[in-house]
Amino acid sequence: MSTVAKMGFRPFNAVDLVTLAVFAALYRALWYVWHALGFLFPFNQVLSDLFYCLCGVAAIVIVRKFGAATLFAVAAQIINLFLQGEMLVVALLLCTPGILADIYIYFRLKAGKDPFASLKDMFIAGSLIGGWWSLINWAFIFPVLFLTELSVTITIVVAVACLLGGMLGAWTGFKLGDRIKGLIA
Amino acid sequence: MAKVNVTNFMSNVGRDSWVHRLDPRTKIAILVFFGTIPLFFTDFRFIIAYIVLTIPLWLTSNIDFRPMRGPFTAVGVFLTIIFLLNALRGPSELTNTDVYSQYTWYIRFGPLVVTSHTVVRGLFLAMRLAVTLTIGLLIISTTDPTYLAKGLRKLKMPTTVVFMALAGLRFIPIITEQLFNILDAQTIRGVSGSRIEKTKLLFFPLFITSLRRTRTMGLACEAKGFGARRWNDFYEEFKVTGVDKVVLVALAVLAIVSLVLRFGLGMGTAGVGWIK
Repeated sequence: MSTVAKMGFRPFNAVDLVTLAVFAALYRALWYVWHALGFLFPFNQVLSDLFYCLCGVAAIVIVRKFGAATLFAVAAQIINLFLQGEMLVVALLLCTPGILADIYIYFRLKAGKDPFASLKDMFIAGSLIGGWWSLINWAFIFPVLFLTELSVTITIVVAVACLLGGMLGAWTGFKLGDRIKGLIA
Repeated sequence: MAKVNVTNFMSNVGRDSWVHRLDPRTKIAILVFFGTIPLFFTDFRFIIAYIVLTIPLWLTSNIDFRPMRGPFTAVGVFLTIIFLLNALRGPSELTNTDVYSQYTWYIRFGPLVVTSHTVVRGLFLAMRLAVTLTIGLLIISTTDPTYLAKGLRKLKMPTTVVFMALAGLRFIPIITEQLFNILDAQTIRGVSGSRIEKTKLLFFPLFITSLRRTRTMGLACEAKGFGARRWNDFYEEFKVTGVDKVVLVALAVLAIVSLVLRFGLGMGTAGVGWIK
């Protein structure tokens, strides 16, 4: 395994955990932006997916360790739980979007690559986060838990729109994280 | 911009009341109870009963409600949107043949229709969110986030997760204050342009200043030996007092009664089925 890959499997230190928590808090701060556009529901959720992937991917690029995506998701939901009183079931479900991204990052690290410096890898990881987020929200959380009924067409359109928003967020998150990590070192 | 309310709603944390003095584990139990049990009911009147149960907690917690205006307004707007989205439907609602969508009255506002069923459904959806949102606000405004995080640790949650929760909660008011400082700085420097342009100019300073603070905090923790040993002991004493025991017993009894009412006697359900 390359040195870079080995670095990706080191345990998290306090700086990493605080960085992840701050990006989760930043996502929470950006929550007010898409929430102010609530009259556009369900399409304001595209912004939610976008910001989620933006903050998540930026955090992963800065922390540069396997497991960062999942920890970011967990931190975001804990803050959501304590600050918004989110439904426990929803919070537990939304702890999972980072898992697929971490599995992808794991295999890229095992292959000896540095996924954290690759736009393609981070775009794929971010898209996995955004896609899973969109899927669990529009296939389960909104229709079943919140009993929000939308036609099948609208549901598919908004789910795809959220995925595209997540992909844009992933791309932006990588650019942002890549630029920031040099400025804060 | 009303930044005062955003950072000051946690100003109630330093006050003193029996709610403030509850053990953080008891507060977590309150959060879990009100975040799960009311959701078993689909009749909004039963859910309102749980909201009514939280009123004595609010009234006896010695809270200054002025800084809470912002969060309450945000919650109110969100719930109103949820209610309106479900109560205002199209004319197809009048010909909905679903057995759970029957109505006893309706009002038509041009292309919009409100029926007794859509109102009940809207109230149900708004109320079930109101319970979880308001109890979360109560707990956060009466609890130092560090205590809450230590309570989670006492409940054997992993240190990693607890530390992130602590750091995130600690940083939210700091990030919010940074946000408004940057906006004020833009105003003072006469930054003009579209809202999008201003937002773009906001992102980088906000991210960078926030992240520099995180590195300082993280390095300070590392310097103090974070992770070198288990984080099980605290200088504060966490004791479950008599009041905590009364609250926990009350929550347990309420949970059992709720489950019996809902699943044993079949009460608390309403026809909040599909609408068009």
